[in-house]
Amino acid sequence: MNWLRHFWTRTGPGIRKDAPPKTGFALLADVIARNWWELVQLNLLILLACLPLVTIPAALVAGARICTLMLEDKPVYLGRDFLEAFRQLFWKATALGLIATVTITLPAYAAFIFLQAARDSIILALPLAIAASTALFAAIAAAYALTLLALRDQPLGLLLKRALLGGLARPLPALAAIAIVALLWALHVVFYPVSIFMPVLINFSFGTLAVIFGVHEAAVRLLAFQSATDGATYAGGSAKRAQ
Amino acid sequence: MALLDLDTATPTPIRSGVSMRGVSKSFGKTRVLDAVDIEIAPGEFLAIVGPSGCGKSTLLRLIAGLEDPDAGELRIGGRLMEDVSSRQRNVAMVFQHFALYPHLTVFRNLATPLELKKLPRAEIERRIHEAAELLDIAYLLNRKPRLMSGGQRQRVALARAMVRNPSLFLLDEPLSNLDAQHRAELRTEIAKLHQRLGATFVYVTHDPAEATILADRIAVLGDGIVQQIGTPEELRTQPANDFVAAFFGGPQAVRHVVGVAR
Repeated sequence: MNWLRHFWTRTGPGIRKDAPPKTGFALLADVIARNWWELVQLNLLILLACLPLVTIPAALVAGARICTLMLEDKPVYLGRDFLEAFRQLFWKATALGLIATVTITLPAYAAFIFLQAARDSIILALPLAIAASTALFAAIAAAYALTLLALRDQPLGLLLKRALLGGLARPLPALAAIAIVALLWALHVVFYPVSIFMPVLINFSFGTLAVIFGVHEAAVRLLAFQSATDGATYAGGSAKRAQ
Repeated sequence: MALLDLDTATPTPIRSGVSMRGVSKSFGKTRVLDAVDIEIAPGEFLAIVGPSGCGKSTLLRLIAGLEDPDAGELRIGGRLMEDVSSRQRNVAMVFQHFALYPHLTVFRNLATPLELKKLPRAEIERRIHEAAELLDIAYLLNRKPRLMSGGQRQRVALARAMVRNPSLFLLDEPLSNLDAQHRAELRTEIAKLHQRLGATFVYVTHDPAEATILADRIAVLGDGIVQQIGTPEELRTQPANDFVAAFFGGPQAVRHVVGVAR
């Protein structure tokens, strides 16, 4: 059993104290490399918490809280922090989930209808574009709302206002994050049944991490801006680290 | 010097002295320690020096409560340790092989003993950040030991001992697995830690130079008995016998050996 002992106890090359902080995708890669096993565990936690269906929004927000801690390089107690966030944010997350579902699916369904009709009448391409853009913007705002709620518990009205503001100010990172989430699910569908375990192992947690990574910097700035104008201090993550 | 009581952030003298009288320990037919008498004053830094297999680590394990003596009396802070378990002794031990949990981050390695004591979360975080600042490992808190060098791991092991706020530190050859550079760095850190905390340190080493640099007094152990206890200067200039002289081989020691031979 010596090989096992050596595997656990052998010393590493050392971690440089003066190493420049990682930024951009290097930061994301670093977070994944350091926390890949925790991310797999988180995925299972989210999946389990989603089983009653009505708990899906709270489970995703709790998962987002864990991803935020990972991204901000803060200590993570997976089970404890997940449960705390789940309990603490359950009702707000549920309300947010309902609003997001309605605001995304209604325009998306309208876009689908207009797409069918636009084949016969080109004039319907305009409402199609409007409906599709609305659905997309609602998804972007939902990504902001998810991150903002994971960062700080706040009144629902203020949360929605900030999410809309974030979506208008910096939509592209959120859009990229949504694209990554879509890609993960597309890979699962395309490579099925080889990819049968993807949702069980990575899709939820890696998808949530992608959203948090994309939106975190802008969300932190939003909170800091609002706090500065309110005279309060934001005690959450640092915008610098996520840059 | 008083140890900073981390519960109240006020200096409280919670240093413990150690008293061993006639302590013996055998493993099978091998007598490892034979009627050992050692008095360690509160706040003192005592090094235990001797060749491999002389019973240094056994002595430390007896103080920690990991072994029971066959005979003799052991007191910590004046209290007889006969029926006191290792958990109740308020001692912290640092091992040669670091003994960190490889699957946990540094933060959780430090937090685990405090969580077992059921301390409040804010208090745990405060203690961890204080120890991390003191030992310069704040940048490692959310890393796992896998990538860390030996020196970094031993700093973490020291911090883990420190966060428990023990009255007695037991260090079992903590630097012997490190390269020369890290050894020198950690030696300084340990000296600073003792100076700052003022707790009682018992430090086992087979390196007389290390003991001389760090300790207030040194106990030389050989053949299961204490050959001599004294300050580094006393051991160097007035060795009690050849054994001690051979260990602390200064000019006086050579003269002593030569004088004995004549």
